[in-house]
Amino acid sequence: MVGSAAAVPVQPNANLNNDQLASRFLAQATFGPSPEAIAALRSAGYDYNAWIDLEIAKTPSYSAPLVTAALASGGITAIGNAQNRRARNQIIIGGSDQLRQRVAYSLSQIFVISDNNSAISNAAEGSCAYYDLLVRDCFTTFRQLLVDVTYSPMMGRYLNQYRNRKANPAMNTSADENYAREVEQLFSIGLYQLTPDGNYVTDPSGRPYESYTNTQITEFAKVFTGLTDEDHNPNPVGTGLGRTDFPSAKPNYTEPMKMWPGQHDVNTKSLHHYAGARKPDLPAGQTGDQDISDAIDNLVEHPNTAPFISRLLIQRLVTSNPSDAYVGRVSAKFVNNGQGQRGDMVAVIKAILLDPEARSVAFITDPEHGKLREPFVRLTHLLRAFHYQVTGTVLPYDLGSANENTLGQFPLAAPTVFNFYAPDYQPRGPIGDAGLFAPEFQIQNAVFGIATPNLYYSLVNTTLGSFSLDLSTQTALPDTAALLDNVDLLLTAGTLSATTRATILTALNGVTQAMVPNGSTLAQTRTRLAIYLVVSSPDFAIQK
Amino acid sequence: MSKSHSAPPISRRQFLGQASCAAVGSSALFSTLLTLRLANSLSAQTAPASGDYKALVCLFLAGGNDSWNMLLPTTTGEYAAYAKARGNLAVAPDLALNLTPNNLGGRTLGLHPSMPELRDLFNAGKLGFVSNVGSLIRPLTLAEYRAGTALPVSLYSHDDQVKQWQTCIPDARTAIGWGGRAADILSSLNDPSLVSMNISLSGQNIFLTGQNAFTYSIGASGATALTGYNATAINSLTAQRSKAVDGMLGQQYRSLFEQTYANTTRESIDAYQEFSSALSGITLSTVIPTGNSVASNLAMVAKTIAARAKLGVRRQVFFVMLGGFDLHDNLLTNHPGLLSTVSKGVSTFWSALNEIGMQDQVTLFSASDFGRTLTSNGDGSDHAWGANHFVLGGAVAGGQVFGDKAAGYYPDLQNSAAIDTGQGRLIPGVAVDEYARDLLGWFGVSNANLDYVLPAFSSRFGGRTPLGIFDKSVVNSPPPVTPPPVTPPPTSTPTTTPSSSGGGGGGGAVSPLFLAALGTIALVRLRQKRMAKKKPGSGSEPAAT
Repeated sequence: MVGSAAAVPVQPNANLNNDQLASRFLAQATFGPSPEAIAALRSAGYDYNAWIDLEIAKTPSYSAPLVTAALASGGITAIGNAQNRRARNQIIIGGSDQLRQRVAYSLSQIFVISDNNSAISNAAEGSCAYYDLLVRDCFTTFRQLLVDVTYSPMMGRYLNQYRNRKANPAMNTSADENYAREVEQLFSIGLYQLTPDGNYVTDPSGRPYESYTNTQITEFAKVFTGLTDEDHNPNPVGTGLGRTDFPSAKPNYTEPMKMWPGQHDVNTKSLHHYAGARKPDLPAGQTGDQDISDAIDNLVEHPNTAPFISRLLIQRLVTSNPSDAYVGRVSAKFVNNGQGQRGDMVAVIKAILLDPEARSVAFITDPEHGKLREPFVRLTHLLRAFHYQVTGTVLPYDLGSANENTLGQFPLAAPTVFNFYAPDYQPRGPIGDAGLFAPEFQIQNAVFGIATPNLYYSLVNTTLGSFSLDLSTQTALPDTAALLDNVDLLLTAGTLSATTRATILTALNGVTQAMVPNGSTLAQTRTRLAIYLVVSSPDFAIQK
Repeated sequence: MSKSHSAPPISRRQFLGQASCAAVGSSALFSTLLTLRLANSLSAQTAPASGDYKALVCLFLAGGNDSWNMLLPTTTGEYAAYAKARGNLAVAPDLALNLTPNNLGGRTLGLHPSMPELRDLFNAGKLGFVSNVGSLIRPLTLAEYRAGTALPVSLYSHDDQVKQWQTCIPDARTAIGWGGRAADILSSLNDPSLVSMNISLSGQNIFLTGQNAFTYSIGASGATALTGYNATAINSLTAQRSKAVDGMLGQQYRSLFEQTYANTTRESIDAYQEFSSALSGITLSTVIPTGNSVASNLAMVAKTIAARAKLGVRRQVFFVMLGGFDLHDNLLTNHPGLLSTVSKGVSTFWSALNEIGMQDQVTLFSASDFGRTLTSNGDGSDHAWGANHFVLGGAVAGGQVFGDKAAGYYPDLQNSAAIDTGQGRLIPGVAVDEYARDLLGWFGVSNANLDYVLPAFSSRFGGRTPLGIFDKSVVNSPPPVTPPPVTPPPTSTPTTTPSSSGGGGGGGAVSPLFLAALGTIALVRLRQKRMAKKKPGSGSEPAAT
């Protein structure tokens, strides 16, 4: 066995050419480098900053129009979860606006709703409309995102600010606190007070200060009352001890919710008090929309939000354990994009992807750098690297419902609002022992450890759902070394270690004509084996 | 959120020191400081005796079983109230299978006619029923319900009620189940193994997920192998592939991430080998009815139990699900077939357990999203709350109905107005927590550890008498039933707004572990300082080579 005698630990190759560097960049910024995407960067002189500007200028790909068009044309008879998932697959895997799609997907793991919840899955194209909201807003401002997420009828249904009634003292009821809690804990400031570089602010004994109290949750809950469907009946209906209840309205799954004043709590609200807070206390009698606008300002401008959100986005795109300085640099851009604007998402994304900690090859061999590629993203990398083909004409991007569940992760299908994994998850073994985090390892268990490679095996050797790969480029290569170079460029950005490379070459060269399955050629057999083995390697699993 | 509940943060070094002092072996090294804090609060379980083995099997009837047609009252006045409420959905009195529970003081019940196997198990004293059980924040009156006091989050919603049945945290949306929490505690009784103590026949689920415990998923035919892999293959494409996979996974990696990936993937492959070799050669002569997924899944559970010695396990939790119960329509057409599948599947399991000699060491219990409305919508019934369930096992004090003692163990539907929130949505007489407490007590979760496994139990239901599902010492004597006062009709629109106010049925202070489960106290996981570490190449632009 190659390498078994070597006591020296394997390390990645960090001596990369420009195409390989481009591939590495595209692995962070897109759903996987295709040969064409690498060529485009080459012809642009490998100018990543200019590439990002071009991506931002591209027309966004949206998913809801795909399902509604399929319904209108009679291609489908109803919009269900399966149809919505296929439409999202299509923009994610096939969209030409890849940076936008990758950022939107990262945001969908912060502003989580889940189509495992029947309120979401039964809402016609609602889940696609929600995903499209993230696609549309991801290059605007963080404030715009938080406003649109708050008013989304899907988020409203998922976290209960939809038709959230004001307190009724006579009935001893109070406003639902669900959204108020999650918008603070997960979507903006987080649980603990943070320094600008993302460290906890601690008391003299080292205990971190919490960033909010339960009283503040209750106060924010009052803010998020009164939202309901958009086309409401102007005549107040429903009563009960003088209450003007929500009107009955046609369910709306796509347009922002509207404020129904009769159910908005108009009392004063005490928000976060911090240096520079513009309206830490909301006066009584404001409109519901004004209250929400002020409360979102209060959260967006809170000193926690910049480092909290910056760290989460770095974890999704580049590395699980960014240095304090890296978080600090991105966080500073979040606070001020250079023109005095806060929350400029383009500035934040550029700061993440163009930072030395993302770009310098020196980090490739840093044993604590990088992240486990998400299982869904490993699959999209495989598809995009090797000219995926789809069969079918109506919503054809079908990965197969059984396969979706086997992957352990699927867009907009997290088990709870806490996403597929926690940002501070520490797996047993060397990562946990070093006090480091590796969120994606939370779904890398004994079941998915078998199930996900089996999906990749199926795709490489036959089909997966309606997908297959076109390997004609690879089978035309002259020898196994050239074949492995090609696969290494597309999947591992040239970082395949010398040892892994030797292990795979030995396997490829050991394939004889007698081992070739019926209906295949030797070249096809070696190509499939090469791709499967690279996909199965720790070198590929870990994005560096 | 109260700071008084937050333990001081612990550095990594302190953590490792405490871990070794507390004899938390490195093989069981907890992955987070969070779990360390929990672990420090837990009491050691008593060491197992030789031959000690217990399995808990959850049979989840997904969609919300119409359990008022599974187990119905047949005493004259009670049946009339039942028939009046159910309208066209009512099971005819002459068709219901007659049950005379020995603790109801002569009141009789009927079992749905498609469940004769369960009737026989009940009459043999191996099966008991639990009546009107559901998710509760505390024992609740109709007036309190109408005031919106202490209601579970999103009552009557599938997703939330499934979660709440599986977590026993009806106040919030959490993803750690009580089967998982039980495994966090009790897996220390098992030999170290790559195969989890918790095994699902129906995919990943919240019930079996713990802080550390994860779900090992198998199908009715066993575990899934890594495709195209055979460690002993020679001179073939599979051999080339397998050798290379083994080589890559056996390598030492400098990257902590690559090393962790290699380790976990190796463990996945080895877990399959461990599981499949433990089960190899195990067959059942019990006849498994074809086309019955409950029967085939439970047969695989029985085979896994039969392999307990090879697997080195003394405790296991299994999860089997049957879907299709959300019968808003076609209830009369489709429900009998589902109940028959359950009844035949469960009796097949009982025969298989007899074959392997494990009837006394296995308990199967039913669970579901919620009960359904008593009233008919014309073609079916809608989402409701309290529901009837069954428990099977040699250890079960069978032949009885367990439930709210004040309601005579089975609610008298002649008085149902007092607990009816509308359309025959009945306020549960007992909480899922109480149901779970009996099951976990039998399973071996010590009282000291109950606060971890059922974090809300002690403060909310600790003062209530156990249901007695496993108490064979006494037959629960029928209490005098005093009809509860009928609450006047509502004067205003009911609300389902949850409230955080608690108390009322509890027996003690709120457990910090419960607040932790809610996510409302600080679970401090300090980021490791990396300041001493010089990052290589900082500040340099990518170098083309």
